[in-house]
Amino acid sequence: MKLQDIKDVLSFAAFRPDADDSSSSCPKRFPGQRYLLLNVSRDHVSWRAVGKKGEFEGGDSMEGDLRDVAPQMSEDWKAMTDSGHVVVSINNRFVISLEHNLSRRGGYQELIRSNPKAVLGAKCDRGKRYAVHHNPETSASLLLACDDSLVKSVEENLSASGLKPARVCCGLYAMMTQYLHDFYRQKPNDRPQNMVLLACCEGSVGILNHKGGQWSEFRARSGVYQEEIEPVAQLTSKFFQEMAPGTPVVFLNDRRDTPFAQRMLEGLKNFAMQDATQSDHLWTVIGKS
Amino acid sequence: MESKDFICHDLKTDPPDVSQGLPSALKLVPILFYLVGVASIILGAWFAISMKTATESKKYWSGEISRLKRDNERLAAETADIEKQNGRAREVVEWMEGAQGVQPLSVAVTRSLAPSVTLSELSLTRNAEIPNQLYFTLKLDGAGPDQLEQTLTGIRAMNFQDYSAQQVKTDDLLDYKATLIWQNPN
Repeated sequence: MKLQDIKDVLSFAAFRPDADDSSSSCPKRFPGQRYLLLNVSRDHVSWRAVGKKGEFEGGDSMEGDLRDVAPQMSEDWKAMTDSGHVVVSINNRFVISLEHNLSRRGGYQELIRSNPKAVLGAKCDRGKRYAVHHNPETSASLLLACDDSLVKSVEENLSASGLKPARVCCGLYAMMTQYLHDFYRQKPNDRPQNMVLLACCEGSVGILNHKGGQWSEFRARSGVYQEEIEPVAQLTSKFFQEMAPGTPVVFLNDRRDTPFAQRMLEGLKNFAMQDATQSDHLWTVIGKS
Repeated sequence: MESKDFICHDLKTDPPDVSQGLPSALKLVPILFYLVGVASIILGAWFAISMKTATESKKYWSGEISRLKRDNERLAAETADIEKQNGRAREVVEWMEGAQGVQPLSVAVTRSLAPSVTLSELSLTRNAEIPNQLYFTLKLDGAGPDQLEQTLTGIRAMNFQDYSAQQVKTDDLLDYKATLIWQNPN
């Protein structure tokens, strides 16, 4: 037994989950520590820091690929963390699809990371990494597939900058699955049978049609928009045309009160629109869960 | 069934030996460690205070023991002195008890003599070591055995017993010597 092990037991650190334990939330893994949240798009990187008490601190963004931005910002980013840990949201080169009848045997969340073929069967691609979120009431699932090479590239860029990835996720997928998780925790009588969930995250858009209690259609695309809402409208027009009158549209954006969000809310004002966006929504979802 | 708290998915490469932390039940170990530490400090302070009190108490009682030993020695000396005086007093008492007066004895001897008998010599000498013993010497003129027996009867009536008697009769002179020992009638 090493002296450090004894110190960890006496300081109760040994009872906290490991910094790399993805089955625990970041506040439990880094109590009283500062860590960094990063959103990586194709040619744009934004970040926000989490303080010792869990409050959000200074953030910024920079145009460019992570390979170019990381070396420039590494010292600033390291100064925003206590242990160099970073939660990364990947905002490009991902595919989210609606699947049915995927395996739900125990431990599927871990299994899809270690042996995705056991969960996906023939749908598994060896060059991808996967995450899955099941509809608890039907056989439908939202499947996230992300390029293995992209995840490795992000990890290598961060390591080269002296940073350690605590979690690598897809911000758009996280925002939608977090909302659906909370949605299905409501009593069946308290939630609508029909709903359209529209999520926008720094250029990426995801839209899910929840019809008659079923997930009937889903579409997602990255790098769709910058500030204008027309590309989003083109992507989502088919959903809104087929939607029954009075169907609520739940809107999620990465942040509240941005010009884009204002324009989207203005464009959706003819629908039974419900803005479920929280302050620092993307950072809250990836940094506090 | 959905878990209570939402945990975001993770795509990162799994590092080896990821720990989920020790079971919460084992928190008892550091808690007990700190409790034992605090208890040790409290007990240590308590023992230190007790030790100081005990040392002062020991010093006080050591002084008391010394004082009582001195008192005991003094009382033993006084007792020995009293015993010595008591012994000497006993000797005086014994001497006083043994030293019966000789005047009644000499009166009893003279009264026992017949008119025809002459007392030539009467000697009563007390033994200095044993005061109840008297060396008795009697010389009579014109006395026979009857007279001597009558005189001895008078002496015995005074609770004296004669021992080691020696009697010599030459012509009319009777010489009698004996040791008289007083017998306590009680």
